[in-house]
Amino acid sequence: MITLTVNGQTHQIDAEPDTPLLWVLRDFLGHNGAKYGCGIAYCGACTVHVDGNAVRSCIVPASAAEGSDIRTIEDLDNHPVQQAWIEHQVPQCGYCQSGMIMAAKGLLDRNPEPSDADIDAAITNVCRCGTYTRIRTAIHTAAATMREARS
Amino acid sequence: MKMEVSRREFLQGSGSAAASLVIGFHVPLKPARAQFGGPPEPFVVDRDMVNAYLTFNSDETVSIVSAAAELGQGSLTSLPMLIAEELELALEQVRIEQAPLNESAFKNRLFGYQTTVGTSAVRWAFDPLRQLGANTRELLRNAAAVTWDIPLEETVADRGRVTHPASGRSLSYFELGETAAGMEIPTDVPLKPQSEWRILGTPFPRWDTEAKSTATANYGIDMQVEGMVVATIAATPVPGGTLRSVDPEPALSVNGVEEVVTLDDAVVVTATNYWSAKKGLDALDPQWDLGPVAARNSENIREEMLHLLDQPGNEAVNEGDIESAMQEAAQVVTATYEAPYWAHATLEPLNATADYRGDSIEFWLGTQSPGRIQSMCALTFPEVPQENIIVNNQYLGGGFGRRGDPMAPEQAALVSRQVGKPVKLIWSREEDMTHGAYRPKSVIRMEGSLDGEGRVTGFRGRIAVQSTLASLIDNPDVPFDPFATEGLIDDDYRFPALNFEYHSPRPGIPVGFYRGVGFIHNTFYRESFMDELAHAAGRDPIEFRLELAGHRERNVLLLNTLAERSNWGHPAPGNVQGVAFAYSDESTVGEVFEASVSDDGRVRLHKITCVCDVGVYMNPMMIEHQMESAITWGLTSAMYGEILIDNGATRQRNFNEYELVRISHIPEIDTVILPPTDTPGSGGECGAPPAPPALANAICAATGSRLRSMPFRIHGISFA
Repeated sequence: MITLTVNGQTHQIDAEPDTPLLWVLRDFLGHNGAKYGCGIAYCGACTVHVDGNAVRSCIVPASAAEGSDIRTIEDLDNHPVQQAWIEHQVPQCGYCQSGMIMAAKGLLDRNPEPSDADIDAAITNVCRCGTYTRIRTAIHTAAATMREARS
Repeated sequence: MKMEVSRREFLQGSGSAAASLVIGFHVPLKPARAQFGGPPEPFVVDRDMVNAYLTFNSDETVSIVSAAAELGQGSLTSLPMLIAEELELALEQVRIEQAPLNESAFKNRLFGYQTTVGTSAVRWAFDPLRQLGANTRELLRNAAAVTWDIPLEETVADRGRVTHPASGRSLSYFELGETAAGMEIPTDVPLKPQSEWRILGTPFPRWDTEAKSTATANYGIDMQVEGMVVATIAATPVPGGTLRSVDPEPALSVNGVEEVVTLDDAVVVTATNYWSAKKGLDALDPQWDLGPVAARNSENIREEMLHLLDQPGNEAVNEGDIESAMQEAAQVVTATYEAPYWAHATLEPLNATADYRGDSIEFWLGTQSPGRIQSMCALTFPEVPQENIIVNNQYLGGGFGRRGDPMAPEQAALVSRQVGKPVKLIWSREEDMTHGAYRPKSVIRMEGSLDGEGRVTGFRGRIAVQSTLASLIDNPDVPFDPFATEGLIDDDYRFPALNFEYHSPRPGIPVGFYRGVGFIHNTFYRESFMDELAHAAGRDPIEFRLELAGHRERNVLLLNTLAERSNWGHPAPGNVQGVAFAYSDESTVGEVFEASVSDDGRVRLHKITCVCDVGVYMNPMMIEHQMESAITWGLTSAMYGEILIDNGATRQRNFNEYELVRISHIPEIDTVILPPTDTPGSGGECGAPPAPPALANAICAATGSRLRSMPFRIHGISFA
């Protein structure tokens, strides 16, 4: 049994301790936002937040996340990053975008006014459709919205 | 009495025979593709067709079925807008639904079955769906005129209602449904001119954006079906191999594993969850009979292809007197180029959920070709009537030509038949990458002749490339393969003499349709070689191309716009520029890459200028997105893409061995769309072919070194 706190709810899960967090979220808890892309932490489609940090859940054993605050894209409710994604019509196939949004939120949570270079350094997720220029623009828009909300 | 009118009921119930309308529509196909696809099939706007596409709701919204699969290209949204434009709906009244499998209503009229491939969605649907909207609108106006006993001319259709301005009366389309159901569908309705379009030609938002930004979009891999098990698979590592034996015990001792299932050429583990299935599969040691392809590797495949370049091949084109052109030339330039196998590497690995029930099979997956899955599974499962094979399409986590393949759903159904439960089969990333239907490797030798004035007098070449067409129609002896030479012999350039031949070697490596198909490597060859010719002639590369492409005014406009917009010839200090230009699938695109290259081969892109002629377009925003997308696709292909074969098996297993371009590599992309014409071109692929040669030509401008093979990585080129 593993005990995980996901989006503020605590779950007892009958999964093997080495099961990656990604597959616990998807196959045991039905949170399908985090996606499987590579299983080796390369692509970032599986990005979720663990204790406020964006992590690649495909290589995090669920047992290592016990006691942590796990947040998935399902926890976001019309977040400024999501608003910006819709405003700039970012997604194409969309498969990477949950991970992109969580990576972008992770960046903005610690850097409220990122430069293009900051974005390029922080967003290492891959998008096979090539939505990158829209992602860059949307992150700037979301940053501005979040700054306004704070001021 | 007002009630929600179902798709089945609307417009039914008339005792009179419905008048039907055969709409002939013209999609310009170049001869090669026409030979492949045949002439477009007719689309008849009768009651069944209207009922299949439209549901009028009591809240004055209209649900419109989209015949296109959504793989990122936006056609899910664009096709219904063709109907909405003529039906006089406001954008906010449109609800979009994914088409069920229904060949008679939703098949792609260019390909003859229900499929979203070849950047053909808008090209097949442009006239038929507008006509469906127009005929239905006129039917509703007729119904209002009859209801109010007034002349048709006094009615106006607007925003989902028909009104009579003179009396102020108004009825919604929903309210008119019952009356319309008893009337004939008008057949001779003229389509609106572009100048009166209100939705088409504007940047309308995509239907799927919100779902994809809030993780509510359902992909094949997200399917949950009552009672299902999750499975993962290891198929023969060498194409054509078979499973000799496997001891199931190591997998069965893994918690969560249910069964080990063997197929002729694969072993599958089913479990309560993916991780258990994967652990179980990893614990197995299957033994294979690998077959003859195990003798093939990248080196001997390449050698065979180079050898073929010395033999006469199939003639693709022979215009003018090429021998004289070469003999009388002031200069002849010769070069050999090559490109490797490329993997689609869709971010969502292939998967399918199947429920085999003896007399029926139900599938859930994201597919470009539900029609092909049905017809292929009807062959694999002869005990199941074809009409009982149901395909529920989901969003596709990337398609790019890979997701028309019936292999994963067939495997899922075979396993479901054995275990007696619904099965969600997920290919691991490693399975996906090592079992691709790759863009074929090719090698080419080209010759160009120049006269004393530096004008091209002849262009000839010979290419060796596996047949992509043969992979689709399962016939290695196709009489002519248009994909072998597309991008080399098209009419965008005219040469006084032009001669190309091709060979179709059969090394046994599976190949398939990859975004850009033949154009993407052939444009790299042609446009890099044109740069070599321009250099040999001492001429400016854009001026040189203007001479070759000047027979079409649109080409001249495109190239001049590209030169002006990119500030051609005047890069920022320290930067270089490279250009490429190419026709593909009824569209033409020119790109200029501005870059800087360090002494150790590190490339930084500073700006990409893209000018495209896509004919008439539905949504300029989606065209821009697709150009950005296709350029990125081309860059991954050019810089990184390389599948290598060792003893018949694919060497690369995951993204760490098959890298993808990232955000830090992509600069500003400035896209200009030429003013629309009257006929649709394509949008989803045409931006890709110019990207590799534009980059190669820029690198050559910086280093003096001509890159004659992809990926550029193997030449010591990397992104800064």
